[in-house]
Amino acid sequence: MMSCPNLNALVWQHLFRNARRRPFVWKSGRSIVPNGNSFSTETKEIVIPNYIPRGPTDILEALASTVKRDPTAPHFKFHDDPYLIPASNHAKRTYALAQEAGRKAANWIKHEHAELFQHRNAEPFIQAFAPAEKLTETTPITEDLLKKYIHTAQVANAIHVYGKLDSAAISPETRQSFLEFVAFYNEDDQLNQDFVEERWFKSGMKGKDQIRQTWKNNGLAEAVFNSMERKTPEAYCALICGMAKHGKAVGAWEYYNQMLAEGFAPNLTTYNSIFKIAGIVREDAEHQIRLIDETLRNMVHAGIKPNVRTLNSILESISRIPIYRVAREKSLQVLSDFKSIGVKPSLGSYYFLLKIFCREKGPINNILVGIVNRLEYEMPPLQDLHDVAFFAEAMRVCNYHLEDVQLAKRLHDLLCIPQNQALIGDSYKESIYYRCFLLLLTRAEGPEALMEMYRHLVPNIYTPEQSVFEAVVKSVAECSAVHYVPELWSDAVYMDMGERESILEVLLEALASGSGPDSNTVSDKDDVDPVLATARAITAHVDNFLKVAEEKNRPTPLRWTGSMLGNLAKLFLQYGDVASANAIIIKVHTLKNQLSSFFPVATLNKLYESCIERQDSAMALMAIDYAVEMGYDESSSMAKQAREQLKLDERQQEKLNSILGSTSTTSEES
Amino acid sequence: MFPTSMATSIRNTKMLLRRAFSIKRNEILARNLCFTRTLNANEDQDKSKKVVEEKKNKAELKEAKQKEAKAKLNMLLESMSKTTQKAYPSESKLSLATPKIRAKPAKPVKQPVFNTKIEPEMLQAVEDVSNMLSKENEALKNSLIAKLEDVADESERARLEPFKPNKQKTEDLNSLLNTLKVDGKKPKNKSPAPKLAPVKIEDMYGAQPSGIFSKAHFIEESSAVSGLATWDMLYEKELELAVTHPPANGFQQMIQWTKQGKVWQFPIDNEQGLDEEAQIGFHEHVFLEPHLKPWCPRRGPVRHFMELVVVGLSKNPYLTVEQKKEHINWFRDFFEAKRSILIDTGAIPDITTKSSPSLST
Repeated sequence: MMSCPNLNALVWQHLFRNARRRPFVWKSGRSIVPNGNSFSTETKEIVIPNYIPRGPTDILEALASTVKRDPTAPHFKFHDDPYLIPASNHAKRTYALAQEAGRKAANWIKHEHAELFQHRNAEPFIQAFAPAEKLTETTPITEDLLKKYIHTAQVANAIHVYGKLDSAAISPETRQSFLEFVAFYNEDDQLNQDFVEERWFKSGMKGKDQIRQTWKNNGLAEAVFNSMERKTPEAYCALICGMAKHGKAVGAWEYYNQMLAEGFAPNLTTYNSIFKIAGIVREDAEHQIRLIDETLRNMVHAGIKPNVRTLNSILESISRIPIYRVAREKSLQVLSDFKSIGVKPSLGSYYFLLKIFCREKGPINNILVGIVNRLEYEMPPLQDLHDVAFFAEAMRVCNYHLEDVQLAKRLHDLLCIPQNQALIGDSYKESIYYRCFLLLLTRAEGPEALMEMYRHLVPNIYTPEQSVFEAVVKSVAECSAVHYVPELWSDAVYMDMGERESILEVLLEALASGSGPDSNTVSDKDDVDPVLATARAITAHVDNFLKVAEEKNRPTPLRWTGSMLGNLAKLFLQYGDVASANAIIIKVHTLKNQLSSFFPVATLNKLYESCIERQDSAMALMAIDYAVEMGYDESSSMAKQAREQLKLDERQQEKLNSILGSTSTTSEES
Repeated sequence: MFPTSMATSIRNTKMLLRRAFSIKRNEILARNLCFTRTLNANEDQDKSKKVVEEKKNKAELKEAKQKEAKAKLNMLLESMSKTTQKAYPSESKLSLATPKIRAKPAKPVKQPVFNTKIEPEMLQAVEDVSNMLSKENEALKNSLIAKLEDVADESERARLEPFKPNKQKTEDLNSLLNTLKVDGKKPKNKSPAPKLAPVKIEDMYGAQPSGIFSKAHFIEESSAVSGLATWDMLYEKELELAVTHPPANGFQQMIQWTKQGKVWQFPIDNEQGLDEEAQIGFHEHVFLEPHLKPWCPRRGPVRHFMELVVVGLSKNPYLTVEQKKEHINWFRDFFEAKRSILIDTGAIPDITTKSSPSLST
């Protein structure tokens, strides 16, 4: 079928060519052309497409999906002003939350001074801009008010209204609704859903990995339940779900049995809750699996079709089985079972599968490869709260478990699809994800590939933590890719890491790992090699920082160390920068015992040799002094060399003697 | 002096012997290792678990292991020396292009022997040893050379013959090597293809279903009717919040504002939010005369006035239908109150108690 238009076009072309030569064929040609193609004059039936109902955000979503993430620009939430673009993690968090704090302040004023915001210009009135009605003594308490608070998820207000209402006046439906509401939120007031930033930075992982009991014992939910004269199955269900959600497994299990004893049939959500707590009410793996099977049979008996959340709850429960083999076999069996009734796994299911299969001390399992294959083919829609935990866990597995770069890149490509970007979870999961990704790259990729991805991610999408940044620098240093170090140094300064000793150590180590000046590198306008310029910049930066700290009498964890100075000296010698090398000797000489590590002997020797070559006896004496002070074996040979090859004036001679004298005496003493 | 130098030279010979022997062996070992490692992967995991359990006995175990390792090493060395003395019957049967192997009778000559199979270094070492033991030096030298030649022959044979792993031997070696621990960092792997790729990709649907659902008849839509309407609503809300992040561009921000009800919704509609008015038809706003019918006289100044009022109201977009009706009713009540005056002035005909419609006809 696809070739049809081409064929027609060819026929048409052919006819047309003939027509130019013989006009009469042209006329007949029209009728030869088969019917139904675009050239026929016959009227085609016009099919009006069905009206597609559009939601209010559909158009915006279509537009938003055309905007790709720009790694060179800061996140949209930050002000587009170079002075206000944050680079470090701390600054990012502070700036974003500062903005949120402004929003909160405005909100607070709106509530405190509600009388100032009573104008109603807009028609229809915009409820979101109106100050929330304050509950006062005079506020008429009605059932409708309670319903409204339930609908807008204002927990504290709803509880207050419920307390004021005459309990006989509340209809059974509202009471049931309120019970579900209180059980769902466990009486905890919720963050206003407008405060997106705060939710983003709130670590969502805490307490979710392990079930902690947060359920309020003998709280309002149980009180509401007890106040019901006739206990309906729905009331039981709400209480069981609430208890299971907030970690009171034993209570949920008791009410479940009570419910069954009364002859009520649990609903789907309740069954899902029971699967979730199966691992807690049954300690032994075997009994746990038996309970799961039994409950599934009950569901089948009741004709309730399990959904994807059922699958996820079962897998979550299995993921707590400590025996690898049992967990593995059962989870595979459950997957096959659910496939047979057409329930497709969601990202949450895959998350639990990874937890089951890729354990820290377990055997290596590559189930993730199969999962990524499936996801590339089809991305399941969001169906479960655990769906958002998948990407971080998958990248963790790529890094620590499989160490597979190709897979990690495929996973990253999946996340980069605009529709999938929201599935990253929160800031905590995002940083786990990128940390694992970058760490994997530092171990498995060469410096070119690593730096390409690094430039893409840092600093706008992700700011590396100190350890990750060190890993990047070390990886670059191991390949002696010195030409990347200047860039890394400027990043370190940009990301507020330029004053950290460990970062400076690895950066200088990396700088000194090169083999000296490279004629191919482009020098700056003063004809200074960028590597050398970086070394000077680091020296100046640290000196300046220490000076400021000293002036302001501020304690600082940063100190010059022997290895830092050693690397600097090595580099300056490599590049023949005598002045800077001398400055290092002077530094070593003055700091001496304050250095937290030794200045390396090999570099000291080299420095010394260069001093001899230049006949720079003052510097040579300083070097000897340090060697003697540190008790290096080379000091005597150095002194000998100095006597033979250097022209020393009297004072220097004296000094040398005094230095050596101290060694001879110390050696005699010892 | 004498015994030490002898010992060193003997050690030298031994070492050289072993080196010649092991060059080929190393390769074989490597191959064996690759071969068995994949097979043993799972077993090793189990082993390591057990080791964790037996932490208490670790110290004892360690000693025992060391002894074991030593014993194994000795055994291995012994077996090596044995194998070298073995005769190879297959040798003669194969008509491969091998160099002819002749049992060379060692000649009792003092001058250096040129031996193609054995390196001169080795021969020198042999010579040193034999010189030290002056008595039986010839015999010793001969036996040593014979041994070296054996080794050379065997390695040559191994080179030409296809490799056949000796199971017993490789197992011994593997178990020995497994007990060894190598300290120090591994060399960094910089190539993009790391590790041995795992052989089999775990198939998610590889397992046999338990058949729990095999005869199930589910009531349709049972999942939709869960009975916990509020719970489900709150879950959906939570789910949506889980993917609501700080907006990444202007459109996303507008989406959030739309969802919060702060901006006009797309597609743009002038009557958005006027839900109550949407219930009322256009005609109810425009055709208001029916409301006059129950009370208003058919002609006369009152009728004229009311018609003007109705026309005015029908063109007013700011009032709801209810307000318009109220407006009309206000006039009705007004005229009702002023009825006597109206009759006096003749604005409405003076007909006593009769219903208005009949009046107007």
